[in-house]
Amino acid sequence: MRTYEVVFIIRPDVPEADVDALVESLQQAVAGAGGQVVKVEKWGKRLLAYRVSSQREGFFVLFELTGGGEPLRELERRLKVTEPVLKFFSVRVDLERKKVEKLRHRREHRAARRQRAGAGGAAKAAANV
Amino acid sequence: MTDQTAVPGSGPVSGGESGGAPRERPSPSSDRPGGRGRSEGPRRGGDRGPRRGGGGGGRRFFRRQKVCKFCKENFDHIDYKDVKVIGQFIGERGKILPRRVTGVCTPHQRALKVAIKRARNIALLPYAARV
Repeated sequence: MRTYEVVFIIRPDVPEADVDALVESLQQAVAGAGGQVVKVEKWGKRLLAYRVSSQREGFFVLFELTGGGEPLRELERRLKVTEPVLKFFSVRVDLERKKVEKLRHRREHRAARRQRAGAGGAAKAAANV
Repeated sequence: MTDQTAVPGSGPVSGGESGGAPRERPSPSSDRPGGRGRSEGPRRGGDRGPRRGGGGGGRRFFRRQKVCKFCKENFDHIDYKDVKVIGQFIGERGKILPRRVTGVCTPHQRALKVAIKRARNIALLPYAARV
């Protein structure tokens, strides 16, 4: 099972209702290919850092989906052929998240051990007195 | 001692640090060779920072010690969507700033590089900004 993040940019001149409809249809496409859209974030209209198809701003949407590569492929294919989509970009995130989780775990462990060691040292000092 | 160290400091700006530092380093490190290695080694790998050896020579250009922002604030992961954070590490032309300017440690600079390049791909950051 893999997790992907897909960000795509829709033309700014598309009305809000159409954006919602498009997002809905893409979600269904992912579900149809055996994936699951875990998270949808609409960042709204924001300025692009450079011009894309002579547009200066765009409507950003973030999808997070789980499943194999098949639903991602289907989503990317749809994004490619959908005319109001200016640009899209997908990253696999599950491996990095796992690494982050491991790091946090280790840090917590170390903090706990240090605390325990500190408490032990204090007890020993008390016993010596 | 003070007269000698003042000479490289009063020279060109970049020459002050590179010229003055190696001459001063040997004396404190030979006094206590083990002590420095133990206290500094495991904390931050090769990032020796702009610390002065003897203390002289840095009279004119006082540089504050640069600490990696991501180490300090316990960043586990540098996110490409977080434009506010990674936007601080590009210059006004959109170039990635070098570590010697920002003080970011090597592992975090590597992660930052990936994040910036991803952000560029999705038009959150520019490839090349106009001045």
